[in-house]
Amino acid sequence: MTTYAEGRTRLLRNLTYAAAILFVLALLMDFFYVGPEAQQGEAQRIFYVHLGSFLGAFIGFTAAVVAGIRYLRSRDPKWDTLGLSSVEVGLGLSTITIVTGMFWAKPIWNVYWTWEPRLTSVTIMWLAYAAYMMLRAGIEDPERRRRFAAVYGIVAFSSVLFTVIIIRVRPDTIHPAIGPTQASPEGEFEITPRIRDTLFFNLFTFGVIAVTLIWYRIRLENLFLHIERRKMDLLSQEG
Amino acid sequence: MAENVEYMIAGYVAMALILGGLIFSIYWRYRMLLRDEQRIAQYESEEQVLASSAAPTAPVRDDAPPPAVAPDRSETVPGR
Repeated sequence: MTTYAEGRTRLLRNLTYAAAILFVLALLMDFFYVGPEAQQGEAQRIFYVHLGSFLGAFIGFTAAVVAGIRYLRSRDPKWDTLGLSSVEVGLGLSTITIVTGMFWAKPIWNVYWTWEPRLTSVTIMWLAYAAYMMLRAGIEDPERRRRFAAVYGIVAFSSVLFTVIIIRVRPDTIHPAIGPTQASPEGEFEITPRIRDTLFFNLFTFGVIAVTLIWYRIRLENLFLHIERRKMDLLSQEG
Repeated sequence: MAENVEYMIAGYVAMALILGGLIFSIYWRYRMLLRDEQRIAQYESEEQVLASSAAPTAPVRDDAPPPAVAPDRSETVPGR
């Protein structure tokens, strides 16, 4: 008979295998299933991981909001662990979004970076979550740290919503968007069935990768807290 | 059609490096924590040996209670 902990470990192992297989399949689709886009050429293939990684980051930051609300209601430290893990993974995945976007922008816009509304808002979002990591590391009292992180995680999510919405409402953005926007009522580019399939497969893959990484990060934090408690026990015995 | 394959390769390499770095960072910290846990266990066992060797030996009585055994805490780690 398997215990609850063994069952969860097996589930995580299976999720890891699934994430690895999905990632390989997603890359095969990016390079071989879908052809280059007519106007943007090969660089357009970056779009699949660019958008996929943003979805993964979005999952992480959304989980941090849920964790923050649950922590403030229950004061159970496990929600703080979820919040920290989600933000860390979300920050890593949003770094992929920004860097891959830069490599796409160079051949298409002729610059790696420009301070247009979407890029500015995503920078604010990234800095807000980087600040979360730094600020919580600077608070000594655990209860105060958890309370701060919960509130900050909820408030910082406004920067994510701002980033998502801004290309729909600002007419001066040059960032492409699927579907009509104020800047381009007809949409930026046509989605063929193969582009759509590859995009959705990448979105699903990065969603699974995000959940898997958050789970591993939770286990890491649990082990860290367990070792800290054992160290404190030892010190108190010696004292 | 635009010839820009080098930017596509650079984008995918950057993605692989950042994702790999994130995974490696979690793995490496986990390894370091396991090493810490081993050190603590070793320290605790050394302390127990020292404590038992320093304790005065008393004559064993037939009605003496069995020695206390430290509880196994390996299953108390949440989420492992």
